Amino acid sequence: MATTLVRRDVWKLPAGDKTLEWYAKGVDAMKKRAPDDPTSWSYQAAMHGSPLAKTLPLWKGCQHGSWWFVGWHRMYLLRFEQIVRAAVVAAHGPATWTLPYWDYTSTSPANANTLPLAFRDPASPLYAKQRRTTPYDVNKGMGLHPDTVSVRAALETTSFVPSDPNHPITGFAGQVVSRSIHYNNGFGALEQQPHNVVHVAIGGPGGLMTNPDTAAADPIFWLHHANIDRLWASWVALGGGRATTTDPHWTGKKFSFFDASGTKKSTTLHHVESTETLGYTYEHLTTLPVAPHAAAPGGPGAPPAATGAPAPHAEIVGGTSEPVLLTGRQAARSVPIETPRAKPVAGRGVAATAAPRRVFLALDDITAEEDPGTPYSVYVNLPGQATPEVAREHLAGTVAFFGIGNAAQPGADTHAHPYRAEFDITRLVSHLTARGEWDPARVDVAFRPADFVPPEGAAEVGDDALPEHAPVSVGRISLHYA
Amino acid sequence: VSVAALPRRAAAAGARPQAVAEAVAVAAWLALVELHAGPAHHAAPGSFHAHLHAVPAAAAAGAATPWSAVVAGLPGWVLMAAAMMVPAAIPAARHVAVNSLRRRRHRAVGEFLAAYLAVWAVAGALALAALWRWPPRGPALAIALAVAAGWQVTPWHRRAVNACHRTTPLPVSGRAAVRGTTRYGLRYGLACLGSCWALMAVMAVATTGHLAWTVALGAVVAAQKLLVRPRRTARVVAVLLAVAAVSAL
Repeated sequence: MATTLVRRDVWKLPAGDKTLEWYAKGVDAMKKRAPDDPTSWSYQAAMHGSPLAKTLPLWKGCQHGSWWFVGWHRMYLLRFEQIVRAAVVAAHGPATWTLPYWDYTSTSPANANTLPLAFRDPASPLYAKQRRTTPYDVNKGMGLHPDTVSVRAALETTSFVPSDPNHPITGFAGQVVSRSIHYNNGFGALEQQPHNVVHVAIGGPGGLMTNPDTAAADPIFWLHHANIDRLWASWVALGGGRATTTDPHWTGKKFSFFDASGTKKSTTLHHVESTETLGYTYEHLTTLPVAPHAAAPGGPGAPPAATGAPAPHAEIVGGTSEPVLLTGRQAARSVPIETPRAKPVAGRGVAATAAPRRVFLALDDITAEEDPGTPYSVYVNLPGQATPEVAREHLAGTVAFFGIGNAAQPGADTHAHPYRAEFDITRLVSHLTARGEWDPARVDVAFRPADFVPPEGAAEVGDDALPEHAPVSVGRISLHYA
Repeated sequence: VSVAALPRRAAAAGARPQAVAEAVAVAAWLALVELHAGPAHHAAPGSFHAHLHAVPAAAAAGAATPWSAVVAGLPGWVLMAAAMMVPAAIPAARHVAVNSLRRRRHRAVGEFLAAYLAVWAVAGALALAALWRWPPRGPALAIALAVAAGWQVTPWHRRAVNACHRTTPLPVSGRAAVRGTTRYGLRYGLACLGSCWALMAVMAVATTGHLAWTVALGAVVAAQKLLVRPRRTARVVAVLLAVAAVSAL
């Protein structure tokens, strides 16, 4: 491509800019096409997922919970953008039209955490009714909370693939698998948060964005994923060892999509490693946010003595015996920590009695009949009656159960799988240790429905005013040390 | 469990936490081949082979009561089930291992396998009693193969294969840990029974070429659990079983 196109920040589009107007026209044109036309709105959405039993070519292909996640979605977006652009050009619009992105963690303008206005207008093709209405209405200006949709954990990872294969969260992109698998339980850091959380935060109970089978039918899906794609580009630009994998199993992997003429095109992931070679860039890349906790000397996460040896893989050191049921209220559990082996870990030269280098908190065997549409923030050793500022210092991360229905009943021709989530809490534990708030024999874990920001002028709703939902069972909370 | 990734993950981890399951699978195959190499009816009375029947139908045929049919045939049945089922259960065993404290890792895998094979043992006892009452004759093998082919394409089979890929919580210590691994082994065994009972019915009525059937259907069990496209695998297997049913007539 001769010119490099720029995908722009939707909240920074200048007054009078027509990007969203053209997007609306493109979406409208796609919605008017026959459902079996690969360039139609419903066909494109079904390529991500579909609740229908029937399947047309390339339907239900989304790749979640593995290292294909970033690459598959970049290709998907690129082809979709070409289809919309063709519709824009057909309507005598600019041939340089690009998909804008929604940077919900930006603070400029101050309401960048709310749904862009064009998407809230019921008369617009960009509007969707099936979005979150509790505790606040997304279509009436509910804001995403900066902690809930934080990109920090994702950007802090320095490895594309998990550095510990049993803990996919140690990778930016997700678990290494050798074949396409639709859904899997190896969420990388980017996918778990902010990706999954934003889906459910916008969709809410029963909303389009909450379910992978319907998510791409909401026009905001594409701006959310443009942001996820931008975060991938941002992550690479941060350097410090961050790089898209060169593993030939990844670069040689082929996925198929339809181009603007409705012709099937197969491309290897090698072609989508960088946005520049694809002919587009982003208006702005995100830099690493300042971490709330710094590692304490000698504590967990402190720089290890230079042994030159790779970090050992984590081992489970404790877990709960009974499931925790989440129903829309706060819930808490104590996790007893078993004494780690007194002997050094075989062959690694690291004494298990020393402070662990890395600490993971995992939520294993999560089951639910359906996604409750409620993200939960997970806290470690949270004191009773903690102020929001204190609670923030105990926050391990936020989890949403995006795709949990597909875990038990995958619609496409793939296997079912367990559902789990995990947090790297190394620095949090270090911080708590330094403040004398870490008990080596026990960790208290608290769940709270994630915070949202009320629309301007709306009163704040207390946690107890939230509707309860059918239980999500967290089968086990476990702690892992490396 | 993302099965496709396991060999690479295991290599990356530089460890074989699932070693117990691998050892059981290898030992079961070695014992089974040895058993077939020296069939029971050729063995001297009182020898190892005289007490172990590799062919369930033969064990039942030689018994005076249903109980003695079960006693005569069960060890061989469990051996066969271990050889056919444990290789495909290695990813599940690995899940148990990495989710158990290091000190009880191998024990946990042992508990899981014991519960898993107990499900197959109960199924085997029922099969042997049935074989004693209704010895396979006529087109029994063809019918069993046809039923197995049909089962592959039912939604119940699909549901059972899905259940094979789900896990249950594993508490890490105390009696709760034993209960957890046992419960997972039983659940996994029941799911496996749901997806593979018809294949084992073929094994129950097959009277000739038993080792070959064990190898072939063991491969089918592994394929339907481990290959990444279960619906396509089920369709291919259904066709193969249907062809086998026709040729067995």
